[in-house]
Amino acid sequence: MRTLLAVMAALALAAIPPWIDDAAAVVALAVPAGAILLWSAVRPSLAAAAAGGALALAAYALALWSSQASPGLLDALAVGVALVLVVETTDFARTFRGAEVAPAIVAAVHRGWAAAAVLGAIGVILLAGAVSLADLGAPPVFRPLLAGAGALLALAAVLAALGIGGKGR
Amino acid sequence: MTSRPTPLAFVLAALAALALLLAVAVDRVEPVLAAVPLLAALFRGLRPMPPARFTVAHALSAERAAEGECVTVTVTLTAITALPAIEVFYRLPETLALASGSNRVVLALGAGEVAAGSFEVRCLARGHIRLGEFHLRAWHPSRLRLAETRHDDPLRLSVYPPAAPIRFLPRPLRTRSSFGNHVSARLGQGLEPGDIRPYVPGDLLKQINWRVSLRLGRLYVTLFHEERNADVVLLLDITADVGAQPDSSLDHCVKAAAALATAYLRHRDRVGLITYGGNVRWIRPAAGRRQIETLLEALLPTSMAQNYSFQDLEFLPPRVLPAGALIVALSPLIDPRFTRIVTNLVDRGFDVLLLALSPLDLMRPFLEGTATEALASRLWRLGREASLETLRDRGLAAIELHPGEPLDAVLAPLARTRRRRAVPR
Repeated sequence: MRTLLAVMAALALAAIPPWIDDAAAVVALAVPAGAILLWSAVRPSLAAAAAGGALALAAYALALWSSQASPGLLDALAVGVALVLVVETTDFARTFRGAEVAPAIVAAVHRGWAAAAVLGAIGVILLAGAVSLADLGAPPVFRPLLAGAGALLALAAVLAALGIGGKGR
Repeated sequence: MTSRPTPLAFVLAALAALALLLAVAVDRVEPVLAAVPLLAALFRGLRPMPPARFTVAHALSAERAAEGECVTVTVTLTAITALPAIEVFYRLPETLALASGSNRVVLALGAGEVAAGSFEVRCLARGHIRLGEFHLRAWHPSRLRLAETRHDDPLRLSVYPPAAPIRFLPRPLRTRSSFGNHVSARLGQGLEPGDIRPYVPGDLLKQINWRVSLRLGRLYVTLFHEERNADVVLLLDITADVGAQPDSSLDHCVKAAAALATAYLRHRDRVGLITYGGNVRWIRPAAGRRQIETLLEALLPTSMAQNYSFQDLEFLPPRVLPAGALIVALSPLIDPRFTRIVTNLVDRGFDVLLLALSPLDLMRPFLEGTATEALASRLWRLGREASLETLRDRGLAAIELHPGEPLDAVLAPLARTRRRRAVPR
């Protein structure tokens, strides 16, 4: 079940960039990304999942840059959720390989993945709305300031999540 | 316990950072949107790590086992605080293999709850095995943080070499004066007829052989072989070891020694042990069930002794090496020092039986099968055969023992050839 979920997420990550733009360079990045992600799902290897995810993101950015298509909310949401799922499922399989995992733990992990997907979707919708509002209302001179604030916020969130410099109980 | 981020947290953070960087690079908002689910997943790790307090204990179904037997390990985990996800890993030494169940479990427990699980381990090699090393991990519900600790609660498991039953034990040529199960050369009271001689006053009426007396016209009596016990000394060569545990030459020699010691002690003989590794260590011959324990305990930690000293057995007191004792030497016959020891014993008049374990079969898994190796193996085998023949010429009973071959089948021919000669009282 978990491997199937990871395989489906890997296929989605490999398919979305060529679907946006089927340029040779995009395909050349998306195909190895898909292959590495599939291998990471079957193996399972977190390092391979990270490498495959990075390649898939690069292919996605290249496809956006080369196509110059209008912003697509659903593509971005699908790429983000698929990345989370492929990394989480691979990590779960790798971490608990050979261990006897209680059904309560498995259920809690599934709930966690669903929560991450729902939270991500809500976040994407909120952010897309905020971007549209800023695009309409704010003068162009404030855009770099907004981007800088967003980047600082993201960095602070990452540092807080990793707990760098702090000790847990 | 101190918590730390897991590799999952780093990977999610790195991918989110890459998405943001790419968004700036290609001047599009979509990669930022794609980073949002990754950041949302990281957001779950912001909840504080719940405190993990627990106690862990374990028990073994047996403290002693034989090689190949299974022992059940029961692990009990008591949660003092709620544990949303705790991983318990019970480390197994290399000489134990998991037979059934799992030594690594991940479970969730409420405060005050107790969980007990068991698994079976198979004992692969002899020795005193120390068990009880736990590695515990308390996971954050998001799996983005974890806290690790190690807990030691040592328990000892003694794994004994298996003592295969032996039906055809080599008979000692000389016996002691105490009663036992060996048919001695001495004639007297016993069960096995030994000789017939004319009746002399004082002989018991039940000894009269009526059939011979009627045929020859005068009274004859039957004499019987006495049943006596013997002194047996097992001489174990630890100067060399070929192969890997639990299938090394020393392991096979130890198994044979355990089987012989058990069999002779069941025949009410006195059995002793000398381990020779350049220097000498010994256990005095004694009889009884306690001696089986003593000998097996002594055999358990036996390992190869690496030194270049040479100590002869001449200094050993007669209580350790009694005159007339049957000496069963067990060796792969690699170190010439052991061959010298054995020939010295033969020269001193001891009844020596040499079980020479062939190390060639144990070497085979490590060979690549090249023509040079095949030639070297052949030369080695021929050299061994020649040295065994030389030892036989000096009056030593030497038999080649192949790994995996039943000891009973190897010893059976000796039971027939080592016949006693009748000695009148």
